[in-house]
Amino acid sequence: MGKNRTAAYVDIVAQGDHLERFLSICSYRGIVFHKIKRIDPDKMEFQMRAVDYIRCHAAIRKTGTRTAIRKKTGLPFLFARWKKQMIFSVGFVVLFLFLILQFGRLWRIEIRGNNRLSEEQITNVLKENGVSFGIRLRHMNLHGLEELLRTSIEDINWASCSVKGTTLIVHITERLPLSGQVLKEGNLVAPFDGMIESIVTRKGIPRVKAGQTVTKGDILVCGEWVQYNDDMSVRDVTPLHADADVYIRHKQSVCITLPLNYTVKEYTGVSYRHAQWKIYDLLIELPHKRSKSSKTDTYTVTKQWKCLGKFYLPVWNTTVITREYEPVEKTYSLQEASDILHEKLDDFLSGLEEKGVQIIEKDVNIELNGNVYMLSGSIELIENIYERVDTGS
Amino acid sequence: MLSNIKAHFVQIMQIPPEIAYRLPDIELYGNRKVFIENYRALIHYTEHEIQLKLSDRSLRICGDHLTICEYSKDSMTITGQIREVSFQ
Repeated sequence: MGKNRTAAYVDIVAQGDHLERFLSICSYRGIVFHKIKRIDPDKMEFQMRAVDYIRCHAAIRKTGTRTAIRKKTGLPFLFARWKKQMIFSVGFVVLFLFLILQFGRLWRIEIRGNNRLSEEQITNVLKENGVSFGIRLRHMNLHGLEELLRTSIEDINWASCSVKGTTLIVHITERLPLSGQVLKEGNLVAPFDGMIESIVTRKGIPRVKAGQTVTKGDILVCGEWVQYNDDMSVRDVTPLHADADVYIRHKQSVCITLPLNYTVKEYTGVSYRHAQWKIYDLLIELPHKRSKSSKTDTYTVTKQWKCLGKFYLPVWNTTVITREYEPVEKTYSLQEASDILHEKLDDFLSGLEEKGVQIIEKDVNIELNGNVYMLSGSIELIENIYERVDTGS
Repeated sequence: MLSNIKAHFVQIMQIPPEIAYRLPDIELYGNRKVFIENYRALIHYTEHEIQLKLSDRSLRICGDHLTICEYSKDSMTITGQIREVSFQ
């Protein structure tokens, strides 16, 4: 026979010379004891039901035992404590009901897989179609939402919607941008002066070869196929979609500037912090100290309350931090300017390399021109580039 | 003679002997736990020795850190490091 989890139990310390007799008499009356332990030669502790404790007073008198309640456990005692703190109990019940009501509604939308599309674009489409905070989760048609996103937003290739707790998770795959040039008729010409590093012609008639120097406008790949008669007169001209990889080595000028003077924010160390709460659309902000300075930076950190890890609630807690600063005018030294300009140049060259451009050499220098530092010079590149010119035929 | 008649009756009626003779039912779980039924009363209890009164004799359990987990009219569970269980 185990303990009843919902019943009220008391921990008793009993003292006397006839404790065993006391236990025997009580047990004859149907009283059950738990965890009987001898503490001292004349002292014992045990657990029993609160209702049984009331019934064993006759045995206590008979055996001359002295008892004391050390602890009261169980739900009935808990409810009795709550009864004294009515506000707490009512508040607990109200909170419980509030949570139950909120758990069946949507309180958060999470977008995953978007790179080019912003979250706002997708949530706006959802809002226009009735999916917003507060709607019942069981009223949402997830398959319908997936179809809606695919048809409404052209850049979405695939969409999947699922619900976790009170969060709608929208997972999308964006359509890849079209790479390469659209095949049109015309000649491929050199966009600038340079030297042909290599040429691989897929369609058209190549007019240059590797190692040849070209000037701007020279035809690299002809977009026409001319057929001649025996007497060398033109019999037929067939336009082609010229297509080739033409790698041209050329020099490109580069110029990056940096102002001599700049303004930096020096924080004074004075900051103000206050909290805001938003329940549904109601914003609650307590009176707080405000900065008297007009030069301040404000940071906000917003967290949405959640329960049990995945059930988000319509309650947001925002911490607003305001920091005062003083603008200070400073001047770059030559070394500082050089470091910054070289960093910008490296970023620019990294961007070119990501596009497949090969950087051969860079020849730049930095000079102070008035109140501007200027990094200028040229870089030698090899890139796959051409211009398409309509033949007009 | 009365006991012989009783024994004969119990055998004919196929009454379980532990019910007929109120024999104690002792279940030992290793040397850590013992479950006892059909006893009359608790005579003596200390951390090292427990004595129970049976119908016709007494039961003595010796050990260390003996605790009575549950004690009622019908059954009792004792835990601890049990060294000896003997009838007296």
